[in-house]
Amino acid sequence: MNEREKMSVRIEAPARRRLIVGGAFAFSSLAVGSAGAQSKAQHIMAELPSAGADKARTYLHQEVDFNGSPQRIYEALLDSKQFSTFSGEPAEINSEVGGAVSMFGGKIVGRNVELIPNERIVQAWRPANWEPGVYSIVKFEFKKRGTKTRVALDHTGFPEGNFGHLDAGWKIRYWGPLEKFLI
Amino acid sequence: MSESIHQEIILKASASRIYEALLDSKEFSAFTGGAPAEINREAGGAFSCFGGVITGRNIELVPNQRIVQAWRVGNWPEGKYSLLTLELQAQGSETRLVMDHVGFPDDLRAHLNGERADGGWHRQYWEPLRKYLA
Repeated sequence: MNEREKMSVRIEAPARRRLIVGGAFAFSSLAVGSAGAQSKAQHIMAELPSAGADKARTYLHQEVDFNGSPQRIYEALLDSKQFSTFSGEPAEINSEVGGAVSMFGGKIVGRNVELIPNERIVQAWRPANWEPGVYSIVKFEFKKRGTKTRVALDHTGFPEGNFGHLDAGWKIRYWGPLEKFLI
Repeated sequence: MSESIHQEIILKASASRIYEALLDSKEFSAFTGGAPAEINREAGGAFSCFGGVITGRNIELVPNQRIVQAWRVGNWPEGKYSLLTLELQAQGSETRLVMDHVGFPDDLRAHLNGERADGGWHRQYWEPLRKYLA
C-alpha cells in the first residue's frame, strides 16, 4: 500500500461508517458535485444522530497529510476560485482577516478570525441551517513534512449532536476533494 | 467535554443601552474599572479589552440584538479562540442578556463560570455592568 492509498483508507473508512439515511442538510451530505469521495455520499440522504458519548462531543481533531507545500494548501483554502474548484460548489472567500467567507454555495458561512500566511487559518464557521447566531471555531494549522504538508484541524464549540456528521463531513467535503485537487 | 457556559442576566436598561456599553470602547473601559478597551464596532473588526488581556474579533453584529465574537485570553495557546454569543431580549423596561460561551479550553470552565475565588463572567462583566447601568 503506498502513501496515497493509506491516506484514502484513513479518510474514507470512518466516514462510511457514520453515514446513514435521514433527511435534512448535514455537512456530510451536502448536495454533491463531482466524482471520487463525493460520489459515495450521493445516495446518502443524511445521518443517524450521533450515538452515545459522541453525541455530547462539541469538538473534533483531525490530521491529514497532503502533497504540496503549506503555501499551496493555505491558498487553496482561502482562494475563492481554488476552493470552488476542489469543492465543486461556489465559494466566495474574502481572504483578509475579519473578512466574510461563504463555501459550498452558501451552505457554510463564517468569517476569518486569524490568518498567518502558510501557517494557520482560524475561522468562525457555521452551516447556514444552524440556529441564528450559533457558530463554531475552525482552526487549520499547516506543518511542512518533507514534500508533504500535515494539516491539523481543530473544530471546537459546535452544538452537541453534531459530532458524527461534522467528523465525517471534513473527510468527504474537504480532505478527499482537496487531496484530488492537489495531485 | 462540555466546554460551554450558558448564563442569563436581567439588566435594568434598554437593549440598545447594553449593546452600546458592550461595543463602545469608552463605555466598556468605564464599566470594567478603567482598563483600556479598544473595540472596532464593525463586523470582522478586532477588539481588545481589559488592557489587552482579552482580544478577538467581531463575527456577527445585529444592532441591539446580538453580538457574536471570537474571544481569547492572552495566555491561551496560540490560535486558540472561543466563541461568545450575547443575545439581548427586551422584557418591558428591562433586558434579558443571554450568553453562550463555547469552545474555551476545558480546564477553564470553573474559572470562567465564577466557581473560583476570582474572575468569571459575573464578577468581571455582569456585576460591573449592572452597577454601571444603575
